[in-house]
Amino acid sequence: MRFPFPFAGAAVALALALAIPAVGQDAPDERKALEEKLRALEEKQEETKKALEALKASLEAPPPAPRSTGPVEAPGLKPLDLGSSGSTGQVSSGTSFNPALSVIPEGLYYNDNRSGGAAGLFGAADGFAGTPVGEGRDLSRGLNLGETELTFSGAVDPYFDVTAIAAFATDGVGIEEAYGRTRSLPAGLAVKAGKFYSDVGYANKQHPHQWDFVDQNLPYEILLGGGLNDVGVQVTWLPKAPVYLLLGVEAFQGDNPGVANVLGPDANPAFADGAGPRLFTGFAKVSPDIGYSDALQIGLFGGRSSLHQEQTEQEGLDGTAWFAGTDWVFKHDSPEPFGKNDLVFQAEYLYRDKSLDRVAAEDPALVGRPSTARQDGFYVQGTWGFAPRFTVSGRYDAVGAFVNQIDLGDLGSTGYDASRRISAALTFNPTEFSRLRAQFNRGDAVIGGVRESFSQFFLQYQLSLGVHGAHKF
Amino acid sequence: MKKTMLLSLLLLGALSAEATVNVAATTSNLGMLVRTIGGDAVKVTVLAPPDRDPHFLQAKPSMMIALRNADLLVSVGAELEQGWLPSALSGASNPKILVGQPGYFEACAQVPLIDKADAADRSRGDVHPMGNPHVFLDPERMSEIGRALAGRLAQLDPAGGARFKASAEQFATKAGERVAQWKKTAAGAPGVVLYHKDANYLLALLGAPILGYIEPLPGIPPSADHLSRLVGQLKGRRGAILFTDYQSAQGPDFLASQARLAEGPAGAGGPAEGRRFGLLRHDRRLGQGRRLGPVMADPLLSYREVVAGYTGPVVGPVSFDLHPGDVLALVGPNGCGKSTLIGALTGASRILSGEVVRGDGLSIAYQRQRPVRDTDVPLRADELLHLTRADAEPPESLRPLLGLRVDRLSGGQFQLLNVWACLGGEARLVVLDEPTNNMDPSAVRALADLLHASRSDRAVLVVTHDARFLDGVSARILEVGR
Repeated sequence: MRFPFPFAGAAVALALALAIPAVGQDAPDERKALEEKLRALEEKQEETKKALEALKASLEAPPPAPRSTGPVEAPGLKPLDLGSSGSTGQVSSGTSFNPALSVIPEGLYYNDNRSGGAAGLFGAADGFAGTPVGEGRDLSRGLNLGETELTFSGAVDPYFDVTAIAAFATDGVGIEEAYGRTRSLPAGLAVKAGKFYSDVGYANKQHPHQWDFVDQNLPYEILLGGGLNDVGVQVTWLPKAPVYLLLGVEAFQGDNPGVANVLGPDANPAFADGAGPRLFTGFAKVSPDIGYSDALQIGLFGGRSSLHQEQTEQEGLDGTAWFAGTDWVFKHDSPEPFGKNDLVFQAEYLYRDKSLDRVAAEDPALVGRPSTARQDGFYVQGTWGFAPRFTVSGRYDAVGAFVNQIDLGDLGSTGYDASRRISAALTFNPTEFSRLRAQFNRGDAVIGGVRESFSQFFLQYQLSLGVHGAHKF
Repeated sequence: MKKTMLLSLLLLGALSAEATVNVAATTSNLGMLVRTIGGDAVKVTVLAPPDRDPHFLQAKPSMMIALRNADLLVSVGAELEQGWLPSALSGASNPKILVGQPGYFEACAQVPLIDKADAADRSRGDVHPMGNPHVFLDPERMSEIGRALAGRLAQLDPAGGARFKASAEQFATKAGERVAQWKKTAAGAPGVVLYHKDANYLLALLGAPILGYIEPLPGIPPSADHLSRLVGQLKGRRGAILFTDYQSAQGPDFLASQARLAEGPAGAGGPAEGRRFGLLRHDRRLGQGRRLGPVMADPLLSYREVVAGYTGPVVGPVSFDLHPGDVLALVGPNGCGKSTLIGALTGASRILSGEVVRGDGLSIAYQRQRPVRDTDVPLRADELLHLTRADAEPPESLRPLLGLRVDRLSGGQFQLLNVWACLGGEARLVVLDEPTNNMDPSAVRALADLLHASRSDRAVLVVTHDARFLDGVSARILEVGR
């Protein structure tokens, strides 16, 4: 683009030299006119020259500074034009109008010394045999594909967030959670509605891929049907206070094998048919601030179900159930890299009371007699990051631990022994998005008064694809 | 009439109520910025201490309550806190500080970012496709962020608007002066090996080349393979390795030792010197917010490349700056030269090279390693404090001792009294030489409390062989003789 100026000048001069001799011999006024023309041309040429010089200079000089950044002059840094109070936006790679998406597949290798039946032993243990318990992991010996979790989440509008989590298994799809939660209620209130994991306890709201072990702890598995996940409404309140205190109440339709097993008249004509919501829970969590590195959370929770039914070959039981418990979590977050020397201790105690009446029985004399079950369970577990990216975990859990009493009214009452388990797991997290785990369980379930011991071995991988899942406390 | 009075009382109450803006800042450097610009008009809670990697935190209940109580959330953004902040925000149930609200301020949304990735592909590590979020090590961007922040604070507290703006400009001026100084210092720097892509903005500003990364990919710990390749690439070059508290020292140590090996046996040809890689661990243990005050203030004391000794050099070269509010601990085993280093300040040892620069009119209180206990003049503890002009209100732990004669105190009690004799006065620099000597655990705890409550307009220099007692104190640790 830069124009070779001397060349242009030479061209003009040449053109003049050729033109002048042709008209040179004419009258003096003509000559005058010509001279004037020449002068005009020279002036014009001078102007062109100046313009070209200016153009040249402007091309070679650096562009003028767009806007002074004040005392800090940064040649490359142009502040974003944001108005006076800055952007309230977010720099995000997430697609704003589409839900955040993540897929978490899981695979397992499993074996035990009970021909694959070890996982079912606790459901057959004294005090629990014949009663509904959690489904467990249902693994066959060898290679298994666990559930693949597909999560969608995002803001619907300024008022609601939605989370939907589907669990794909080889035999079908289930809705793990699907709920809306308010974003903008005042005074620290939040309302959640849909199908979701209850916030009672600590481990209850964790999805299987968040567990520190392959399998669910015994009190949740046996007493709460694998965890309280139901259709309902939750209201929580986090008051403005110097200390974290979360209070919440929940109303659920009431569908849980452990505390709200509703079979209805279809299963047994003698069973009542109750309208929902039938299960109400409440919880309180308090967490004193004990510094950056440590966190402690203590929770109390409980719930009551207005309908709980159990059906065996011999009899039908119908009544109510309630449960209560406490959860304790201590976490130490070490400054060392990749979770080295991080610690987590957690313990929960759960007590369940079922007050049932025998509404149907093979022996008609038994009909109308009560059957009350008072049972409890607990787990204690710890996880230690012994090296960057590696953790080792240990757990001891038991059901019927301190109380395992079945009371049959004037037919007498029977106390049973505790069934218990000890587990150890070694976990490697190559990144935050992948996890490999080996776990060994040794347990004994009391069946017919005899301790039936067993061993289980798991290998597990979990891969998390998609948006960065947030670490909940 | 009564009604009017009541109303005016109410109005008065409303007017005199402190117009404090509660700010939750995710990192301590942002906490510093907010405090510098907001001054007394803000109350800042920093969610993560500086020795934590802001990528990997857990949404703790204490964070949720801080966010619940906040009027303004100041985060780094660009998905740096993606792993924990959304969860903490959702748990906080505070609609004022959600994205898009006046209470949401993301530093990365205020300035242009570098290193934008062309693909959001995690096989390339934990990438931030929208650009490098580590803007907080860039003084120029921090100045810009400060200006935007001043505007935001003015929106929340209009009365302070002019003051915020002035503070932001002052910060920018100070930062600009520093940048000029740093550019001069860094001119011709041979280059830097980073652990993570966290100092890129600063190095671009200083024009220092980046020679490589200890991490093979962002967020992936170094493998032996990657490190040996790096050693190969760096053979024969000079430079510094830069890493922080929460990054493992293993990789940098290995690289530094290998680079030293690359000096090669004598006679192998090529220059035998100048192939070393120095290790620089930038110490971010600045601790809890209170001390994060105006770090842009002039230092009270600067050691610049000080080599100290007596007839020959004992220790050094050592460099550090002490700003008001700092607690700096010189830590090392006995005989490593810590006291010699202090001697360079008090005149007990010689400065063989480098310089010690004292702030203008700096007053120093020095607690010697073995305090003299004069039994001929049996002073009472309170009299000793009076004599040493330690006039501040003594802390709880000392009160029972005040009426006692100093020769009746235990070694630890006397030591604690001597510490307070320094801390309770007006000196702007307090030097404590082995203050834990003779102390039992309860006295050590009391000492840590004294240091923790140290005034924000003074600096404390602690010399100790055992830094464990500083765990609860927001102190910087400088290891001597390593």
